[in-house]
Amino acid sequence: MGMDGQIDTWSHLATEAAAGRLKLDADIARDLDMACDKRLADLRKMLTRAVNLQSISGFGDLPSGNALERKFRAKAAGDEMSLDAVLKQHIQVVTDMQTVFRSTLAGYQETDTSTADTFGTIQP
Amino acid sequence: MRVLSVAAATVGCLALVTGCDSTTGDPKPSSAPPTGHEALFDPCSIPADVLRSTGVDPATAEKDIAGVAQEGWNLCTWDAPVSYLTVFATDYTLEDVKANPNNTDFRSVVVAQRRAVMYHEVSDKGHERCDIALDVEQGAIIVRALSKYGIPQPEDLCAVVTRDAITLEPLLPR
Repeated sequence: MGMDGQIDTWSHLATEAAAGRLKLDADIARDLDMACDKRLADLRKMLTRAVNLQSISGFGDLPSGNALERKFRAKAAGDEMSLDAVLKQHIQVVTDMQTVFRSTLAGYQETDTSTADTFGTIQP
Repeated sequence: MRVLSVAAATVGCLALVTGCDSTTGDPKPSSAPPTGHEALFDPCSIPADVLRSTGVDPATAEKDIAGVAQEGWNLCTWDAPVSYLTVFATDYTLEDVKANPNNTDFRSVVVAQRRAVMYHEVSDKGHERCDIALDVEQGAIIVRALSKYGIPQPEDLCAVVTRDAITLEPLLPR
């Protein structure tokens, strides 16, 4: 599955989870939520490295510019298929995944609360 | 009610979660730093208490690019709750920063009575970072605030980097 497919799949699952049509074991959902946090932190750090590296190499061709170096630099940041654009797509997909896992957890909490409310109204 | 498979969802996440975790380590430079490097200010030497007052966690310091030395540059990056702070030391001058066609939106600013310039990079169309470059004897010091991508920023990053530059200024070389 390509990145576009991943984006579509997880956006769709986020909708399903928000509507309560997707169920996931609560412990698994919590583990996956934490795994997504870790992954997002790593991806954001990589994005920052790519951006800072691009800035440094951007000084290398002063004052006139060098086509080959510009081309390599574009691989680190700046254009459609550059590393920073790809990392941003990955961050989007993992964010969508996390939305799915958190929605299923929110569903459990609502169920717990409404069950508690039901019990609360049962008086001896 | 439709119940989607837990296994499918789990496998989908793990595939991406473990996709390239070998790149998240901090590789060490394989050779000695390039010559001329030692003379530059080392931003990782900024004391922890000063860093804490900018809002970053000093324990998150990352030297250079994932620990890999960059010729002619020293840099250090720290995590704040919703952003990163990077300080670059270089022998390129403030004039070079202004002449660099990758930079734009220049505004002359004064940081604790020092001549400085605030700017964005041309590639940064979403204004996900903001730079302040200070004129120093050895070249320039660039203070940069970067968003943690995808996390809403409560404050303009140029306001963040202005405050950070003022806090760090007494520690920066003349």
